[in-house]
Amino acid sequence: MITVDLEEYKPGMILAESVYSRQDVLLLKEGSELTERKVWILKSWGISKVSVAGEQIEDINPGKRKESKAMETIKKELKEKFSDVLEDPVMEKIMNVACKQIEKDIS
Amino acid sequence: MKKSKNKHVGLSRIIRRIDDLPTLPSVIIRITEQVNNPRSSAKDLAGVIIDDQVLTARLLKLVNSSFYGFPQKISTVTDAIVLLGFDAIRNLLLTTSIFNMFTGMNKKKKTWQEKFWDHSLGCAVGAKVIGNHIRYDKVEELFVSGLLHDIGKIVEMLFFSEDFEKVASIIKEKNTLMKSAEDEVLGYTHADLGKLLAEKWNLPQKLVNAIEFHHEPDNAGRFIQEAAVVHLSDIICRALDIGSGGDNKMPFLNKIAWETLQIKLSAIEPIMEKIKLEFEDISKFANSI
Repeated sequence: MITVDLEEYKPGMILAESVYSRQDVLLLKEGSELTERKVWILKSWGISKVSVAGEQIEDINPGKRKESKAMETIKKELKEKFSDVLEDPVMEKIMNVACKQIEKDIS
Repeated sequence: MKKSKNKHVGLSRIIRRIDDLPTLPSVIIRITEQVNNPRSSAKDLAGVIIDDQVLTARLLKLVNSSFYGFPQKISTVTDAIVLLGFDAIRNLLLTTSIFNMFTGMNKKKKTWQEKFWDHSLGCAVGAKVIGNHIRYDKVEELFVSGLLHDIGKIVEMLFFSEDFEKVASIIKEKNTLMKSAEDEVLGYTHADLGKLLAEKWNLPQKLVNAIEFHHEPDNAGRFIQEAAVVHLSDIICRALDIGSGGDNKMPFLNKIAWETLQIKLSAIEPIMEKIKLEFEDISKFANSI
């Protein structure tokens, strides 16, 4: 059993535990398959994480998390590098494009 | 007042040592003479190049590389000259010779030199891309200007190493631009040094100006456009982290330079994308020279 963030679910994942709303209303039974529509409904009830069946295949998710952390560091460094010149709209544009390109490289 | 006095002292100190600086290989000087002589033919120029086996081999390797992508193998120097033109050949041999002259001179600073060459190459590619965008007619010249704009830095490192170390420690301590650190402790900058070397080598005035004024293109007089292209290209390469020029700060974009170029803000993104792609392409090829 693994916990996945609904933002990172893959279609076809099977719920390992039933999902209840905060008011304890059953939303989805254990064993249901996650689909785009079901995930949308869960999200609209304020659910962000569910338990699904399967081995710990976390290597994708932490990787992604690590990536966004790396991205945050890069953005911070970029801002520091540009700190003296950001009043100039052209320089701001150059920084944003650079940031976008680095992001593209990482993903 | 104090600053200008400082500058005067700093400059005269490097001018006194100008004779210690390396000279261009004599074959490059002869090639430049041939290129500048309106009466010389492709055969005359080829004659000079063929005298130098290393240069001949390098030229043929370059023109047959995927960078130029000619469909057929070019096996004679004369064919290469006819295909690429006099100026392009001169620029090609000039830049590869300069790179080779300095490579491996200081083993300790090898990584720094590699990053430095990457920055120079990036800036060359950038100058070409920007030149194409503003429809400049001799982008080849802009490429060379970009490649050599920071030549003063490498001279500073190799021939004024005490000065260089001082500057490096200021950069580390204050996280400042190399130019500001140089102004503070040396009284001259890598741009001044580059200019002196370019003059000593009798490089064309356009190139001398682009080297001297890449941080202040509005002072470049009639070559403001060329200096402005190099200035912007330098800034973009710093933003994209293409190599490193020895510091980690962004210089101000010179307003007059930006206005001279008449580039729309919306064109920045495609220009930067192109620079990044072309740099990745050319750096694979340049490493094999």
